[in-house]
Amino acid sequence: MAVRYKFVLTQGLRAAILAIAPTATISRSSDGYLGVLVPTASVATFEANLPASPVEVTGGLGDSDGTGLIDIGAASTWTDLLMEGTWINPGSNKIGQAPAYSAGEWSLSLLGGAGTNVSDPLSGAHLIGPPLTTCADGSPLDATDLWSILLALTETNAPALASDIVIAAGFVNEDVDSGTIDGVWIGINYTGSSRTAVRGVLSNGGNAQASSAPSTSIRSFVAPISKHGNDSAASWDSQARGRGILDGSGGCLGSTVAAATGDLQVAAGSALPRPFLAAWRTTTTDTTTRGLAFKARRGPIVGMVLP
Amino acid sequence: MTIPAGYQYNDAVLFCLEQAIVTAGGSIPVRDGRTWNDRRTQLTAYLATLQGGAATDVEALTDFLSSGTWIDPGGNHLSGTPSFSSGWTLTLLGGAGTSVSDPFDGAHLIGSPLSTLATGAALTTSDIWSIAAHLLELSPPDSLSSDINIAMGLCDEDADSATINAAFIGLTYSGGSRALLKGRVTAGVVSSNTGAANNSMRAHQSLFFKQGNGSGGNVRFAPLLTTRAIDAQGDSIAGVGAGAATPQDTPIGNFTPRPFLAAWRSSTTDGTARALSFRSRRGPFLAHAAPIS
Repeated sequence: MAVRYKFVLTQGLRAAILAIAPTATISRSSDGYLGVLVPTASVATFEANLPASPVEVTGGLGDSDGTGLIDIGAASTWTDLLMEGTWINPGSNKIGQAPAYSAGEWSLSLLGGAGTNVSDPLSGAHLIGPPLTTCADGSPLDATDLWSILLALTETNAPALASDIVIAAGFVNEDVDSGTIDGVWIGINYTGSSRTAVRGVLSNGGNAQASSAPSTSIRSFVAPISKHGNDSAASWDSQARGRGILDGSGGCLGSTVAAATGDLQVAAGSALPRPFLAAWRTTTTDTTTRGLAFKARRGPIVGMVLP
Repeated sequence: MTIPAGYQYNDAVLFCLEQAIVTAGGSIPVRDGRTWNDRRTQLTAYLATLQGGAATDVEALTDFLSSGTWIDPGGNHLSGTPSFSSGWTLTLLGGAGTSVSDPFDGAHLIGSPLSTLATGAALTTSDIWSIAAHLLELSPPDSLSSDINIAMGLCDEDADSATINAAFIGLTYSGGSRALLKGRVTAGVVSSNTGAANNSMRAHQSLFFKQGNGSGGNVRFAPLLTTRAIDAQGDSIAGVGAGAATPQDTPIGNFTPRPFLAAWRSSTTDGTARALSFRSRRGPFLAHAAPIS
């Protein structure tokens, strides 16, 4: 028999719990929350060790500024979009160095050559996380709510720029790739010794996207993602159209790199959004395995009932 | 247990508080079977009652502007004074001289700057930010062919000028139907798109966002590329978005946004004064440092 407590996972919270309950087993449950299993024999000790005053917990989900103010206080901080999970390697021929997360950054390498190229984020190396279920104020996100969220994809280590590699972050409405999955995404495409910003949609598993003009100055792509309407045809949109393409100083790059026209919305319906990451090659031209690293972050999700 | 001044509830605090409540003989509304997150709102509300405080709610929609003095340029746009109850009610004059092409040349109201974020912190103007916006028809003009626009937006000055910048969304009543309106004002000059006509739309939903950190062209301020119409059932209406090809962004630089409302006629065809009412609301004001490095 054990007592089970459930909390949102934070790196700091993990350390804090282990500090007062070294015998606890901490695990990630399937619904995305932290499970803390404490042997019955240790519960009394565990509870006796609970601090009498609040403890500052820093690091991890909802505390990217490291202030210890998370959840309610996190309404204006960036949160890592996904910190853990098992990347899918379709065909077993996409991933070289296994993706690793550290300090807000994902690093991995992609294989090159025949058979490694795809045209769809979910046909390449990808990771789909648990759905976002909690609004910025701590209340549950209802599937029928309208919602908006800011998404930021930032390069931290570029692959060889002529590699025809795309990195992406977005939201989908199912937990695995399928013929019915819908989603929206933003990405950075490394090609032709330059970079383009890309935004796209997945509609019933099919991908459509629009690219900006190339610029070697692109370092980050920021887009508001929003859901409109509350029915099965509710649209999900990512419509930054390149205005969120930022250089290394955080300034907007000019209209010459604005993403091409196109609505790129999908009727994803009233489903809770699941964050996803992806990295893939668009050609087989480059046969060399390429390493890269990036950060994917989000603002708090804000759910609203219909106006 | 008292939360120290300057702190918000966090996981560890609630962790300890939960234990303290149990130890003191209290009960937690739900334990296993539901996530801690599900219980958090209940727990936070419970703690608020213990401490006489109020739980923070950044999720709720708030009125965009609920007070202030409307400007009537030329004195020939408004009949009477707009009033606010659950929404704004006003009457626009018609006929010669009442039509304009710019929201600030028609009846308008500019509010105080939004300088405080949903968290209570002061806005850092170099941050990027976003605000969800909802413009809802309560009562259309008594003739839909009135060529009347209603709009809500954000601008960077407290009065119309040749240097004012803004982004806005609106509803256009024209030709017996409605259309979405999306636009910008750059250095006092307006540019806008109108979507396809649809008689079912009742609300216009969008998101205003500032992207980038710097001055002028380093910062873009815009509503969503293609905004969305909502019908009376809350469903999105496909295919009527205003201007998929035109972002209507303005190079505005770092600034503190001021909410504004406007109502104006785009023609002099209708000579009759028309009454209408609408509600404008926004989501929480959230800001983020530019995600570089």
